[in-house]
Amino acid sequence: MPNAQDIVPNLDAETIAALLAQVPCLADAAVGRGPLALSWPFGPQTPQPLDRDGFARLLATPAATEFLVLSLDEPALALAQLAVWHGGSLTRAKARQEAPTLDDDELDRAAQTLHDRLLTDPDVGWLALHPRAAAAIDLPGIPAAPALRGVITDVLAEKLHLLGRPVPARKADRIDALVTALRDPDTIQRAVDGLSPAASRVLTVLLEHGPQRIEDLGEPHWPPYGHRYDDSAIAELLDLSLVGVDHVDQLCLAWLDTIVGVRGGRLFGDAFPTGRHPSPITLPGGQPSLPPVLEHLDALLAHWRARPADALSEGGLGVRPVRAAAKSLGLDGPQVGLLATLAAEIGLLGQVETGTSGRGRNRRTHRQWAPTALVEQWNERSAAWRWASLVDTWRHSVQLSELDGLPERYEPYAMVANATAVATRSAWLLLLADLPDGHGIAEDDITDVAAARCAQVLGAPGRVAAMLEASRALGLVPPDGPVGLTVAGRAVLDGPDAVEATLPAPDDEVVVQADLTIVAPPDAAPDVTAALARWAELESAAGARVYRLSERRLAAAMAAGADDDEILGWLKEHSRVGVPQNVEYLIRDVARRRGQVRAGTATAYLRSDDAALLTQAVGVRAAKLRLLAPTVAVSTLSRARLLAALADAGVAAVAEDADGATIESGALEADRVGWRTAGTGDGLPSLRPVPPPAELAARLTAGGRQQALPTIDDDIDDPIERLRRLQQALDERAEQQQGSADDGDETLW
Amino acid sequence: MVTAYDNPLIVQSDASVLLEVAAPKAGDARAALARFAELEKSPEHVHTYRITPLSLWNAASAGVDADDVAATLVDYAKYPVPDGVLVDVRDQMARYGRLRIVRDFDSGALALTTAEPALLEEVARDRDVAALLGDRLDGNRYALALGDRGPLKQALLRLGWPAADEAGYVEGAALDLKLRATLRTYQSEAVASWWADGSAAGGNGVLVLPCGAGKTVIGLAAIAQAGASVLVVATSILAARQWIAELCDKTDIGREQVGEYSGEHKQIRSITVATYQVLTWRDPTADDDAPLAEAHPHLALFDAQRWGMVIYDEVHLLPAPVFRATAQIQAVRRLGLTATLVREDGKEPDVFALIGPKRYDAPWRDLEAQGWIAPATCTEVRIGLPDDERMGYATAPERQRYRLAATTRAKLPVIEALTARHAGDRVLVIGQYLDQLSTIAERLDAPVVTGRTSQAVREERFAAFRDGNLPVLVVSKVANFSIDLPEANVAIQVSGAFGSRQEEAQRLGRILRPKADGGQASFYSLVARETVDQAFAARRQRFLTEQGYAYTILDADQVTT
Repeated sequence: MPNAQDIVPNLDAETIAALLAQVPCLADAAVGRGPLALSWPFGPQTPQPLDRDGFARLLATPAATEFLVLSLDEPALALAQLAVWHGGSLTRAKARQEAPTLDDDELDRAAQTLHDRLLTDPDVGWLALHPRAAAAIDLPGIPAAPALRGVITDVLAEKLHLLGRPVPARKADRIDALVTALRDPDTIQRAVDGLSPAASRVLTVLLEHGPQRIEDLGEPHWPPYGHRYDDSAIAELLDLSLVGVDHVDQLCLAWLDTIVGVRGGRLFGDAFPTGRHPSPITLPGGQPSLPPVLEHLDALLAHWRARPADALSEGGLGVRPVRAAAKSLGLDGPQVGLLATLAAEIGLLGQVETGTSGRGRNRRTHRQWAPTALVEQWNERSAAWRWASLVDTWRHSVQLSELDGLPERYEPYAMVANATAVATRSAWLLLLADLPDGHGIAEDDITDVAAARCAQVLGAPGRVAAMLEASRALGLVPPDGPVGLTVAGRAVLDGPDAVEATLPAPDDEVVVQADLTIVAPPDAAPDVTAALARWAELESAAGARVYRLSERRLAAAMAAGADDDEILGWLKEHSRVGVPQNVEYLIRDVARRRGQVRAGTATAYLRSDDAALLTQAVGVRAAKLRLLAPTVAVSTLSRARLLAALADAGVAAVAEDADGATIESGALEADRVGWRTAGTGDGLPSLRPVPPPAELAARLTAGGRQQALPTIDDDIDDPIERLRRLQQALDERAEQQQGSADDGDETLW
Repeated sequence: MVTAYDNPLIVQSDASVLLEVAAPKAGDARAALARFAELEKSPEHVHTYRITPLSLWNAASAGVDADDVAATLVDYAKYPVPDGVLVDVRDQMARYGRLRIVRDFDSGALALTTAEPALLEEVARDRDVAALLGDRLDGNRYALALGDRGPLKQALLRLGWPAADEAGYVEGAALDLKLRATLRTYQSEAVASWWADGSAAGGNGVLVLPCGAGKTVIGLAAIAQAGASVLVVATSILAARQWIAELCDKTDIGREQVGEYSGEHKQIRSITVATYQVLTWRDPTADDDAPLAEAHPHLALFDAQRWGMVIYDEVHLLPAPVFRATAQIQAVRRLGLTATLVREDGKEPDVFALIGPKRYDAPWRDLEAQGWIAPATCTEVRIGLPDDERMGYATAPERQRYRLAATTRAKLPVIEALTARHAGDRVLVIGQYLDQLSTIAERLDAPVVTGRTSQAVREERFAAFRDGNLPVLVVSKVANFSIDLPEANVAIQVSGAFGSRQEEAQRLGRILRPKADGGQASFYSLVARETVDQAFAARRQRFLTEQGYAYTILDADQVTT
């Protein structure tokens, strides 16, 4: 087996930087994050940042190759497919001929993209794909050859005969001849001209609309074995091997070779993808600001704090509570689904056991989803950090699968890491980040542009709509109009510090007025609005925020721990115009009245008209009694245990019911166990921003070994042969190195 | 656009606009903004305006276009203006005037016309509108009876397609009236914005000015401007007589030219002052479902003469039958006067549709700063209930609680202390409950004026108060409106209606007339601590605090010691 780090030839820092910039999943993996870090099968349990060798090994994995291929734009992917179609390599003249829609520059750029993604060997001919790359590239259709290998030799001869071609002796040659015949425009044309009208119709449908169900073609069910309908249109086409049939799914399809033949012998015909699309348009300007997503999240957490959402029996969060929350908060269901998923991944939402029901096998534990204690830590972080954390969690989430639209639920136990979703998000963000600052793509064009930019992940139906929906919910792009990163949205991809740098200096001054309103400017510092939100009711958040002080709200804030000095001190410090006397009076008045009526918890009480007797009972420490009034004491023990504790100390008390009637001791209920609450995890996930590609590349190349490519004879012209020889040389060197490593070389492996 | 921190406006995405009073360009911005936004509240530092469809249509009818509005918002805004607001402004303003009510010279009546037949078709399919339209004259016109002009405007407004009323006015019998008083700047501005050069675009609407700002004089100036016979509708007979006295005093008109149409007199002259009570008097013999004219026979006064103009004093109190009568007389110029366009019944849109849009308003504090109304300090005195009353209050049924709290005897020493503190001033003690008022009157040895006091005794006592012979007068809610007691400078409110916002403003208004010595006015509101009285007081004060009056809150012992 070839040594991986030799398959990846000598990479300089610049090449690596360019690569990391274009394939963010690789950069993620280099710092030990993302699906590639997870899928790296030989690494330690917890993914670690990679060194140069580790990175080289990573690049040699099929998974990395797959991600490299996923990152290709439309022309480069098409060129790669063309190369695969032609056996793995292309001359420029051949490419020129097959891609008439590209100009010279575009063609060279497509080839350069494949070189830059390390999918080709730059030293071999104009374009030669690495075998590992060729294996990862899917052709835009299904070729006939593999199927033809299952056809007996005589039948192959018959087919060649029908197509009017000479019949070679060997089976492999017959297959080659058949494939060549299918790809030959003249042969195909003759074959098509000779078809019956029914077969001609079926073929036209297949060529124009792709694979079809046999039933939809109006043809009889195709039996897997045995009897076949010799007089059917499909049988006629099969005899000529123009089409193939999938017995299991009852599908019929035209072979890619047939399609190429019809197209005049070229893989893409005249429609080689150009990647040319409408140019970006300017986004509406405006002051960079934090998006409303943080407020939405706060509102959602507050909503579920007040009314915890019932968990599904298998543990997730169902559509019903998500929609109910959305309705009550005025948000969309999918928006809430996204927020719930991200909040749960961050650890802001957790499950609480609320009790059990049933017995034996039917015993069920009931759970609810509610905000965890981490929310407190979360709220202490700056708004920029919280936003960056949400975006970062979305970017790397392997649990969230929004490719078919944002989910209106949360499924915490997705077993398979959703690598495609991560790659899709990376590609999407890269597309947006590559647009000029302050520019976007018209909403009508974005699907095409995205598909052209990253055909394989963004070209799939619905992907762009899903990405757009998520980006809008997270506030990365404007809520409507052209699609492009907002100034803050661009910054948040680089972490919270970058966001802070783009936001205007926050205003921490407010206006306190005698009509009990407090006005905070639209760009108020987050800690200002957070403080106000604790004591005052938000009346308007339509830009500047208007809060109203009220007795009720102040009393609630004080019950939650604020005091009048703190509130007044804060107001005096932040008010641009002082604090009106009536506001000060109100706050002092609420504080003065606080605690006049008190509530506590007690499980049982003890009462007696004889104060002395009661005092004696309170003296029994095991009874845990507290005297509230001369004739009443309360205990945290249950009634039964209180009675028992008193009896032990020689105080005989009787139990009474709610109406004061005495009850027999045998009828006392058993003590009940309170409910348990779930743990809250370890803490907020740390934001591990991926360093800029250049920095990362410098780190990856530092200390790594530079190895020249083995030399081979320059006079070998056939690229395939060159590649084979190169591979052979590499293998030999790898064996030598393996030997030297075993001898105690300082390599890591 | 970058943030322009010197600019005064913050345009909110809910179409409200915050104006920072202290900003350098606040004055200019206010003038520009007032053309198309309603002043919602004006506390000390940040005033709130609201852009509503109604305010935009009013602006459009006054010739302001969407570009002006957008330019004002963008030019004075501190932060970027939300796009949605600008789009809404354009949408709403484009609706005004696509339908027009014009004179139909063929029939002598009116027509509803438009350049868009589809729009005409759309509104004509509405049931309310269809009932008011006559024959279809041609593709673009429907006939309209003269009397249906007001109801049609109301109905179209409800549909969101406000019609431009270009049918103009009938000229009433000419009346030559010269004003003897000189107008203050804001008064002439107010009249000018109502009159609009005599065009069909003007001649109707409401002027909003604080109590004591001289609304009657504005009314007189408007009569002089219109130069036509006029019907003035006032809240009470006392107010009506004050109008008559002012007319004789401040204009060159003779008393014989002014008629009083009230319970006592039924004079109809070229200037007639009527009361709401007499107009809305319901004939007890009329059936429940009798037509308006039969049920309220005195409403015929509106047709008794070819009035050139109708003035509605205290338009925020305009009763429903008068609204309906007003709908019939849309060809007559209309002027509404009020201090607070806050209707507790929420009928502000009817005022706009039938009397007309708000043409002018001035924040109270601005006029105070210019010296046109007396500077006032507002004080709330919190009084704890005595222990026995507290227990009584705690056990009282819900509906009796307010009365128990508001009439606590603990208020008496505070009233005494306040009147002692203001010895030498003219003090009004204003309350809701007659027994409470008579207790106070006895304690202070002051006369009392309530609804039960006869007209003659009332006038005698008010006169004595005006002349300075009576330093303290105890009054019930009869004194809430339109009683001219110019030298009153202290008001002590002991109880009020359940949280009526305009009542407190009206009561403050009693003492806002500028004083001869330029002195301060003091308004005290006595409130029983920790009772519903306190909650109602907070609601009552809201209007005034939103007008920029800051209440100082004192404890009872700070007043009595």
